[in-house]
Amino acid sequence: MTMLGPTVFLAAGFASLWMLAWIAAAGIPIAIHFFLRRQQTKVSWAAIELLRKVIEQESKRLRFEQWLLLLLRTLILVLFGLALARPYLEALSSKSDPIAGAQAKLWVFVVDTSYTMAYGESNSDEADESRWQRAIEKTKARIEESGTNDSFMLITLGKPSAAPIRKPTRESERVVTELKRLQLPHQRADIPIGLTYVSSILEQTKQNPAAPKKIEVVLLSDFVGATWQPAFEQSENALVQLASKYPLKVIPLGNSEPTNLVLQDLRAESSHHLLGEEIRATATIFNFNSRPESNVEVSISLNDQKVISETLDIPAQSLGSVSFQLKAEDAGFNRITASLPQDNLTVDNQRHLVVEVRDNRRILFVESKKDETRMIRLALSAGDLLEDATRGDVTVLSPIDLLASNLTDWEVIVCNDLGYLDRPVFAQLQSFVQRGGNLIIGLGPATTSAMWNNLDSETLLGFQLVQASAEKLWDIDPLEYQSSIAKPFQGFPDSGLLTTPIFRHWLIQDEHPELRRDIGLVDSGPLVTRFQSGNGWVACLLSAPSTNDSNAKSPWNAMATWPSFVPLMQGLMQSLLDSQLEDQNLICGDVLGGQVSSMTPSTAEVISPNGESKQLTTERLGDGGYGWFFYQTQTSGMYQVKAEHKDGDRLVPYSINLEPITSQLASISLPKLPSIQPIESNANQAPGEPALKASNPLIQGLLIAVLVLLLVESFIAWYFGQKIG
Amino acid sequence: MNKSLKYFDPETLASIRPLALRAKTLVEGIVSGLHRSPLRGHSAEFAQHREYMPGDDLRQVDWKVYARSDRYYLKQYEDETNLSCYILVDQSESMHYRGKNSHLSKLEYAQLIACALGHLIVSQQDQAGLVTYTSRIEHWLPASNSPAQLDNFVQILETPATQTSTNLTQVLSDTAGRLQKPTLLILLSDMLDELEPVSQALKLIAHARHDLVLLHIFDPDELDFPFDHTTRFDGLENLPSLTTDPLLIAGAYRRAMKQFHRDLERVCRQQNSDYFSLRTSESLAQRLPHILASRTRS
Repeated sequence: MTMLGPTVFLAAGFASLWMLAWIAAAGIPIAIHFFLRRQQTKVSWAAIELLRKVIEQESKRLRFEQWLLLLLRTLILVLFGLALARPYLEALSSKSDPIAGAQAKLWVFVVDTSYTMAYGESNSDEADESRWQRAIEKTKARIEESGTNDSFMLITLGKPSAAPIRKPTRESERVVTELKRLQLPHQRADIPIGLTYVSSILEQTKQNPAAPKKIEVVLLSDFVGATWQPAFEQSENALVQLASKYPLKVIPLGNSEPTNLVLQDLRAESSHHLLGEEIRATATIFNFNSRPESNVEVSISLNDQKVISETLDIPAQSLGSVSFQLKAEDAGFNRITASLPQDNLTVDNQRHLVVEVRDNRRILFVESKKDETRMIRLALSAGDLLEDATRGDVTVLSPIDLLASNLTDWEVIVCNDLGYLDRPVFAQLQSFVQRGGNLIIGLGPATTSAMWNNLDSETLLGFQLVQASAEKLWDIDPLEYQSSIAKPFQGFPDSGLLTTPIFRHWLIQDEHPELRRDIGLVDSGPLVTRFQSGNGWVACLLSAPSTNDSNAKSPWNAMATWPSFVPLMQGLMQSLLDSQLEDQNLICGDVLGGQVSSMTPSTAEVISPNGESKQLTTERLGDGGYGWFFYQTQTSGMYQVKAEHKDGDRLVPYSINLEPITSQLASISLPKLPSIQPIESNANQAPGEPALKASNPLIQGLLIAVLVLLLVESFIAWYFGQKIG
Repeated sequence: MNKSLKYFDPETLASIRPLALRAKTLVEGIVSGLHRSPLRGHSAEFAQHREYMPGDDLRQVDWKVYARSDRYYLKQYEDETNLSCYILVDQSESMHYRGKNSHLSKLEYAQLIACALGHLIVSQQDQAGLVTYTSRIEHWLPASNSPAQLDNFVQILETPATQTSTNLTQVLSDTAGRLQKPTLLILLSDMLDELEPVSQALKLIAHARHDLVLLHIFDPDELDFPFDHTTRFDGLENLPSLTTDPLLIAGAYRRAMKQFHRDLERVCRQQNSDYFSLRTSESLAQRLPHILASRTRS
């Protein structure tokens, strides 16, 4: 009884599968054989009987010799084709089998795909070669040094990280092909998460018995501070952990003294403007060079038309800014782009911004009692926001009237301390906000928590009401002036924000995680909140401005009489309008999304900055409506989306910018770890590293067989020839 | 060797169209290189004197007459004039084969030999006859020493055969039946036939006390088999064709052909017949004297 040996072959295949096409060459001798049979000459022959006897006598021998030679020649070509295809066999235990897989090693190339890898180095040796191109070259060089039965994996460190070659492959060309195909995202890699991802993939790979046992990780990165510094401790820990498990070789690709100018920020004072109003914006530039830069030209374009060009001097390692004013000629979305002259890293030389220009403000005031919103109207009319409020040309409706109104005509609805709100009206308001409308709600003495909580207020307001607070003079907490509403008061104590008299306010619970607290009250909850519900925003004033009605119960505040009231109300309104455009000014990696007017499935079209168009199918949303989502925003630039709107299809621009971080390109020092071996070049290969020239014994065997068969074929052909002669 | 021999190689002879002239040219070349005639009779009884001709055997010169007249005469004996020779020429289709390196077909070569030999015999006052055959006797020219006999030779040799195949056994049997007394038979053929019937036929000839000389004529290609591509061999004499790769069987074929020649020679020797093989590429001016000289020695 024959027993199987200890080696069980689990995996077999070819490293260069396409080379198997050479086996087709085996058909050549056969084709020649048949071709020559067709190319016969004709001769009249006298000794035909003698010839016939000879052929009859020799036919068996001839047939045997012919087939033997044909077999040998075909076999030579087949074996040669197999050898070219680099076959491999993996043994269960490479130790038990000295032939198969004993030398196999798994090379795991981990490549940083941060946008800084696009930095073009200009030096004497490699003119204008980017770090990414150098990464490809270095990878190629390492692959060329590998053994013929080694296999490869490719993992990219990005945001998120990915594994283009997750399963070990012997097709080394695939690694380079994948790298060349990959487009660098305009994002920086999340190094700690990426390195953890590498570890987890390698753990999974080790579970595969067919995978080589010897694993070596090669990390290629420019190690720039912008990528590695923000979470350096975590990155270092992840690197140490990886190096403790696998031999880790590091190929640094950075330059110690890179030069770079970064357009770090482009910001408009407001994202909403009325037609004819000037758009005031500022572009901020950082000079990372070690020398000052003079006459740096900053170009501003409005809707792809260059309108302003300004120059500025920026000291070394410092910020410089350019403020400018633009006037949009048409209402609608306007695209602003600021650009710097091209340098070694072009991706951070441009930023984009979308602002909206409207021909008028459309604000609806809802009152259950007359003049509930009067103080707010007065506050808003003090500025540009509501020019006609003093003339009474404002629309005021009762909650019941809302049911019969088409709310899509309005940008903002203001309600102040509504005593009663029934469910249909609430649903109407909720629908208004979901579709992109903005709502300002003041909650005061007329408000009842039971009514709001029964209406599922948390879906609209972002919280549930508990009860009214105790009556006392509450101190304002500006929450470090982080909010755009509180920010204008910073440094102006006389503006009265901190002294605004608040006697009572609503206490809240079950706050939504995304609820924003703009202004708070010391030792209590928030005073002003904002919450995004669907596409729209809701701002809540948890102590409604008093109407100064003498018949009213004891007032909850004296806000309306305070100097902070006007700027507070205007800031609240402006922040809501600006919030609305937050979804159109995003950073790389954010998801684009929006709701369509149709209540049935439809399509939306996204046009990327490079002009590529992609059709999206709308998805059903929680409120029963339909919306679209686009996730491939790894490239910065202006995206445009054509989706269904109540006024018909319209093109909406979305600006996608680099993450507003410093493009600090200087490389950090590598962690001093014994298991991490930096490699500068092949010449600097670590001493003692075995030369990776181990060739596949299978291929060697095949080539030896080819050689032997060639000799045998030559001898047999010679021997038969001798017999013939 | 006479320098003029170079003009009697097959290439030169092939350029001479009329067979008679071609044969005469050949004979002159042969005779000028011989010192005595190879075909002669033997008798103790003197018959007459004949003037010496180039090629005659010097031993037959009557030196006494020479001493008296200063002229060369030969003594001829009674039986010498009784030499009767029949030349048998195979006219089957296989004899028409001419290889790519040959200037004459086997038949043309045989015709040339037949003519030349006829010329030689008649010029010696001996009787020469001619038989052409295929599967049967095509023409029978009775032996004669008339000077006009050569013209008859030419006329018969240039007459096309009516059959394509060969039947040597039948032909030799018929020939033997027609001849009344022992005769010299010179057979010109490629002998592409079964060996056993040939052996039987030769035995029949020997039994009838005829003297047979076989001049086995073949083309160099038939022995060398110089083909190197897949070839379709179309059989002559109505035999089916064959397709083969000559490179693979050339060796075996050559060995078989050589063996056939050896067997044929052996069969001839067994029946006391002379066997000479001739390639059509060989110069007859060189080869025929050699054959005739061999006959003389025997």
